[in-house]
Amino acid sequence: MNVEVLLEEIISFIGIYYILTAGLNVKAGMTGIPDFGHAMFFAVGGIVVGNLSARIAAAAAASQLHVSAWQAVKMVISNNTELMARVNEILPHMPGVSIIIILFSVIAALILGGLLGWLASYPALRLRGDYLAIMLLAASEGTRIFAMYYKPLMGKTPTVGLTVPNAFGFTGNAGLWSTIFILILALLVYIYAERLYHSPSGRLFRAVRDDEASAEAIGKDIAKVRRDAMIIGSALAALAGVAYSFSPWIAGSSVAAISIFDRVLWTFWPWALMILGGMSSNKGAALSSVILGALLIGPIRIYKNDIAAALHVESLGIDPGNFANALEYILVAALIIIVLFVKPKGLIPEYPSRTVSKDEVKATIDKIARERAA
Amino acid sequence: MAYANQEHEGLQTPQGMEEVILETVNLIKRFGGITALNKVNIKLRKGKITLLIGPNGSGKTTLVNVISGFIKPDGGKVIFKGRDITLLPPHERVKMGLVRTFQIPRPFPNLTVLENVLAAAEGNPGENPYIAGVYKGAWINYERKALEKALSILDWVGLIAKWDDKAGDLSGGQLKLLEIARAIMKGADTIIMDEPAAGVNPRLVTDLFQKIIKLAREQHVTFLIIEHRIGLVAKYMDYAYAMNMGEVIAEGKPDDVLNNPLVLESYLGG
Repeated sequence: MNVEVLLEEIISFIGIYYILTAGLNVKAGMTGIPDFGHAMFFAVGGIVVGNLSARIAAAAAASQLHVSAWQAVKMVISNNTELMARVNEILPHMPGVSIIIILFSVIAALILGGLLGWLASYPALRLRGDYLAIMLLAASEGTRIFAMYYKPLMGKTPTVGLTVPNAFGFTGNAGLWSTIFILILALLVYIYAERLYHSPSGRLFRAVRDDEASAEAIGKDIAKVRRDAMIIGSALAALAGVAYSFSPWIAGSSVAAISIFDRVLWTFWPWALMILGGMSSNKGAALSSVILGALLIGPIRIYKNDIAAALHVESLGIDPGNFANALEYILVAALIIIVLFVKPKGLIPEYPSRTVSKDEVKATIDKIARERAA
Repeated sequence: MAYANQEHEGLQTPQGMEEVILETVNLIKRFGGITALNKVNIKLRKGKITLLIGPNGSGKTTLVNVISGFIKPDGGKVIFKGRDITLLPPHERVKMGLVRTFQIPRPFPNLTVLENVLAAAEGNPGENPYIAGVYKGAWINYERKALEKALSILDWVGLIAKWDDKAGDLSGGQLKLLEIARAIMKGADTIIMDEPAAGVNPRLVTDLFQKIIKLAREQHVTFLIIEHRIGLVAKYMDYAYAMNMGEVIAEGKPDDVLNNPLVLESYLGG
């Protein structure tokens, strides 16, 4: 495997999973909403790119395809594979349109992801704990089935889905530049999430998680707080979906309902990363994404067959191919168990929200002591 | 006492001391076949400390829950500052200055002591998450003011040394102090306390009630205090109500209420 491609895959894995986990962390870690339907919000990003952004690309390329813009837009669903193959030949020559598509995808995903989060927050206001968790999981699965068979949304064939526009083709090195794009998104999300954490809002999210009745007793509108957390966390998940759709993993092929709604990849993996890093800890989410990205994509995915061969699993009656494919799950599960035994609160446990620095607090305490003495 | 400078709206005139600030009118609450509150009428006067006693199951905590909005009554009204608040949600009542504490203290256990108090600040622009994560300038000035107030209050209740400890690590008595600190931070002018002395060692109880008296006398904060350890606290009270079986059976000066034969009987019989 080419080193450059490997690095691109590792970095985009880290970026996508960090954004996704940061979103889950706002909902589940900080605010205590057990969102087991996180994949549903991630899928919004894939739908935005595969369905909406592709229509912009088709409309822009229509004149060169000798059809009207309206016809081209309709063909995004009716004749997706053929149309998008030709659109993706034209798009690299249209850098302006490509950049508009990228910006549109980011903004539309944030808005639509936030909207879906807002909708999902209604049951989140009425249900608690296990009931809410199972409701969100069911909503995510139900939406997946709907998306698979509702053709105007994800195309005619559930397993094929919609071809994504090759929006990074104009750069000449789509793999490199889409990786840089994901890295920039992840850094922006990190800065935002860290600022949110160290703000009165972050403190309020954590307060509502700790004790709702107590938060109500000091005048907090907990319904609004939970709604805000659902909107922000879901918008970030949709952003991760956009990052994934443009990533070297997809590399201009297609997004399908069965892959973007995958509960293992987009709900359970971020949960695992969040728990591994430390519930509610934004730094922890970043660290666990980096560790897993470097560990999983590099050594495990490349050497999994060699590891399976070296362990002679066939002597235990296990098929080496199956074992190799399951290896990443086995190792991640083992890693979580070991880390939680040694550090039950995760790699970087939850830290206080420093709205002002510790030094400034100490200086203020000294000032008050002086005033009292005077 | 730095925070003594804070303004309590409408409480600046000493002439208004006898004014009724909170009143319940014929409150009724039933749980299944049990009538927990049966036409309960009480009045809290501004700047006074009112005691509410009664044996277990007499309806005291239900009354607190109805007044603070945590449960809806089946009949009757709660009037606060001249306004009917019977149907207002708890957080709206808090905005009007009516704050409660819990029988078992309920801090935010994973937040530090300082965070617990700061979280009580009202109207913090930084609690809008869409702005807070992007532009710190929108809230930092407000937060600095809140920080100074919070630290003064922590200094006053005697928890300043613990400011960076997790609230979950405090002792029972310290948690009660933290609840008072949060209520003061909230700018409450009416505080309802459900058994503030329960589980607190007697010396801390004296300390706690001296703080309560100071708030009542100097800041004209109104208190309704539910208490079982009557002997410890009666001397601090201005007025008392006794409840039994969901009804008010006696009211008046604390000593008179405590010596009322009906009250003695309810405790012995209960």
